[in-house]
Amino acid sequence: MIDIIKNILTFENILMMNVGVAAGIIIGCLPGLNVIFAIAVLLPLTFGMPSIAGMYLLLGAYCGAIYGGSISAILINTPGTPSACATVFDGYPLAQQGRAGDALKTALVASVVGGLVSCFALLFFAPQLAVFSIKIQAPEFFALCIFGVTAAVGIAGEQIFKGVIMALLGLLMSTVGIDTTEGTQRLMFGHIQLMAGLKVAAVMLGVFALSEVMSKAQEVYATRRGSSAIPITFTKANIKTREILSHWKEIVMSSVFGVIIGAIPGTGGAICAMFSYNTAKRMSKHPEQFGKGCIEGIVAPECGNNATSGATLIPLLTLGIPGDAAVAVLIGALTMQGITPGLHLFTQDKVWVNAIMGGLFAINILMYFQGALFIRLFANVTRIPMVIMLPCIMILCVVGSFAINNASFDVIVTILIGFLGYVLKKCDYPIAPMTIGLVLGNLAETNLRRALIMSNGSPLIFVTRPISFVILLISFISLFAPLVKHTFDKIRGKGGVAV
Amino acid sequence: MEKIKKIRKDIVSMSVFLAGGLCFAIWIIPAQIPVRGNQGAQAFTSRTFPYIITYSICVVAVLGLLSTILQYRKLRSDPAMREKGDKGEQAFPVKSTMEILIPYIIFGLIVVYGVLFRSIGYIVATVIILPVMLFLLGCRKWMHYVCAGLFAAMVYVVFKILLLVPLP
Repeated sequence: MIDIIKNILTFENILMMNVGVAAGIIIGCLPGLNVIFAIAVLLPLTFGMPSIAGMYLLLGAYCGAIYGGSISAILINTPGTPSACATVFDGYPLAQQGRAGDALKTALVASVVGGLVSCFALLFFAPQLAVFSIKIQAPEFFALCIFGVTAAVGIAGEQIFKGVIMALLGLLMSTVGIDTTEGTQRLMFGHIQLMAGLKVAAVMLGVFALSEVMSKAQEVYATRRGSSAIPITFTKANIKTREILSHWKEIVMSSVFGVIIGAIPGTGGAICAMFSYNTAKRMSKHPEQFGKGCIEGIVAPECGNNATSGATLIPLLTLGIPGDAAVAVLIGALTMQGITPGLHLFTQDKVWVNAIMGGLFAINILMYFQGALFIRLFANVTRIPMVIMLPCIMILCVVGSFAINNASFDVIVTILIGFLGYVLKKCDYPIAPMTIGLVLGNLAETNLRRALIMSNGSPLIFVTRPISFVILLISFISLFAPLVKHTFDKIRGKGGVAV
Repeated sequence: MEKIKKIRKDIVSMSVFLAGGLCFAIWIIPAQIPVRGNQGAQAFTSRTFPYIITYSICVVAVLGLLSTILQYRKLRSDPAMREKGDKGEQAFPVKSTMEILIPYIIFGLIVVYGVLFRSIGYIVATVIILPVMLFLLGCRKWMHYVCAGLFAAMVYVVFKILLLVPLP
């Protein structure tokens, strides 16, 4: 135990945790730049680092960005990330009452508590799930991959067809390169640099960061005369931590929701924040105060969204299935370090599991100190004009994609994928299913092939084995449930099915 | 009108995916994924998974296309919508040509930056492209140019000196 703590708390690791948290908070509090963006942009920096320090940088950014979204939600009435969408309802009204400091401190304390609860959940539930996952064989793994992909399509909401197409596009992209089973070249178009396939990091940088530069350019140009000054002045926090913790009912409830929702692939912080907020409002003795700047209205969503941070890592570490697109980028980082997430992490690379679990605890504690000490500084970040940010992001993307393999080819891939991402976003195609499809593609194909070998080519193996059948059934229900719901709504005359 | 425009866009994008899927299935996969002699008899070859995906794309694109066409016809037959169309109501705020073109100009600039980055190196490429991009985005404050320049210098220090990335 002491050895594990010693391994985690080295100077380099603590430095990277702090840098990651700070970068995450800064990116998170800039409206329009989300958690995935924070991880994608920092990903290239990890290539030259020791693997654990690099992972801490990304985990710090992950936790920091979820919290950071609340800063702009409270100060400028715009959630920095989708996870902070419910924080706006009470955070901004409280700030308007001259209590911006109180609102920010409440968000910080609730975020840290939610994050710590999530760490405990990861610590206790991940090993249990890992024990269960020993029973899982190729057909079940394939079913899990399908579940991961269909859950990602669920992120797309009502746009089922678009979500499915994007997931399939991601799976198709995963087939580029040498087929590891047969050694055949696939979809390489004569480019030897594609032998190892499309680099997940290069694709993520393009699709999440570079495409955002193009999307935001239009907004920036249209509002070039406007400024992004903070309309609300920052005030010192007068609220005591114990006052915030006195709302323990909301904290416990939202944390539990966060852990449960976060552990289900395809959900995420935004859903949990809204769910926690609504439940807190329904259960409150004074629901009329919600929306007017009540503390519970900040505690519930902030605690809920941060409680998903550790929980989303449960399916990643045990089954190798990313819970959301942000975790899919983390898989990219792990793969770059030569680590394949999954059950063997618990049997062979236990150092990694301990490092991630312990690191998450440390990151949440550091986030509290950073938030408490530098909140005024972070609040000022919302003043940085997007016009400066865009060229800086472009530079970081180009240099970052070059740093993946010290090759200009990856720069070309990032730029082309960035343009593709821009066009797809413009046509309202969700990007998350594509990234999860890309990450899960190889795993899905390998296990499909193994399962078919097991069954002498019969696809019935997926429905005759109970676990794989149940997983596939859940996948198809989750995929078609919105479609069925809309059909019923349509019959009742409420509306049509969105594509 | 906004909804009709969105549906038209969906029809075009679904058609592109359908055409792309068919292209992959008919030409690209056979040309780009060779199957060795002894693999032909196997049930699962290197082509199988890409084929499953591309055919699935085609099926989903057809379903999406049918769904959007039905929505489009329904909207067009809506009298209120037709009236709006006849009157030529402008549902969108008018955007200037530059505003529409700016993402593509920025993309062009990123491509040029990528090419210059490879040919003449990071420092010169950044010195040329960074101010151009800031100017195109409407930045007129010299302080912003300095800030962006400092960031570019920081990126150089971090990658080249600290992370030892051999930047061109």
